[in-house]
Amino acid sequence: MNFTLDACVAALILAVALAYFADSVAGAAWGAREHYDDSLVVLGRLLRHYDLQRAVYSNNSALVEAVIRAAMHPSHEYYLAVVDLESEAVVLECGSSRLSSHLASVTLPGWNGTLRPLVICFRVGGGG
Amino acid sequence: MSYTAMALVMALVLAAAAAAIQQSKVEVFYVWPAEVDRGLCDAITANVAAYYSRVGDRAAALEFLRRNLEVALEHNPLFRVLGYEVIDMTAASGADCACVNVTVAYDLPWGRYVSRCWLLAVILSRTKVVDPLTGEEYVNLTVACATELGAPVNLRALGGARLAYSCNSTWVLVAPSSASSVILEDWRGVRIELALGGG
Repeated sequence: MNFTLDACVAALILAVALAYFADSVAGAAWGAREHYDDSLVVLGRLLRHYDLQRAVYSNNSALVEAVIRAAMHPSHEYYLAVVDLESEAVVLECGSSRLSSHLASVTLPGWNGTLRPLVICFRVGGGG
Repeated sequence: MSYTAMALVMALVLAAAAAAIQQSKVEVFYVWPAEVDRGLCDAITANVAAYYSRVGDRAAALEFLRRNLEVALEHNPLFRVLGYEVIDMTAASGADCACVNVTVAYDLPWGRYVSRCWLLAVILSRTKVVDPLTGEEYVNLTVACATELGAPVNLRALGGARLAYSCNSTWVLVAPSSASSVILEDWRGVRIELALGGG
């Protein structure tokens, strides 16, 4: 009788532990699929070709859209906002504001031989 | 050892593994990748190259580089530069070619990154053309341009010169022969000065 009770309790503990472990692994795998790439990595790649800086500093939202779309899968969405540090105002905003993924931000010190810090806030994620 | 005790030990191991997996999932989103370090370093180098190509003063360009890094480090808390070294900062202009080169090595937490920004223009041919109606004389230059990323994305001529893309990284520049030189600017703002008269 004691052995049976012991085995039943052990089985119950193992079942709960296995269920918790499976849930964690499934959650991690699902999260990885939701965001195909880190927003910061995409932002870094865009910065290395200088097109994003040119578009952002010229306040050209159409160029920003073209530059980002050229670097992303068509089914994915993005959101980009540019904040001027001096005036503390949003100077440019484009993309989908429905995304809820991690918002990465990078501050550029200047462009075209000037010192004018701009904060680029950027997020990418699967389209709805 | 009873079955319950063994099951508890196994449950603890599984819980630790699950916690580790969840933690790694969170870290994916908040890690500061090396690609952003490279992007920021390249943006700073290009900004300094644009400034240096206009001012031509090495000391001022070094101070501008220091200020750029100061701003970037202040506003990007995860961007860390342990040190930097200017490997090359030159602007040369000859009879048939002109070049601006800024190369900076940044010591970052993950290693050394050498960031380059250069623009080179070589004059392939130079012919004089006279307008038959006005009698005005023009210089027609065929110019090949290159950067560290290949052909420039965009190039424009400053002053009274006209510039048109031809093919294979080659541009045709038409300027009045009264001008001694013409300035070309790429899409990053890096400028070079080409002599119209030649050697």
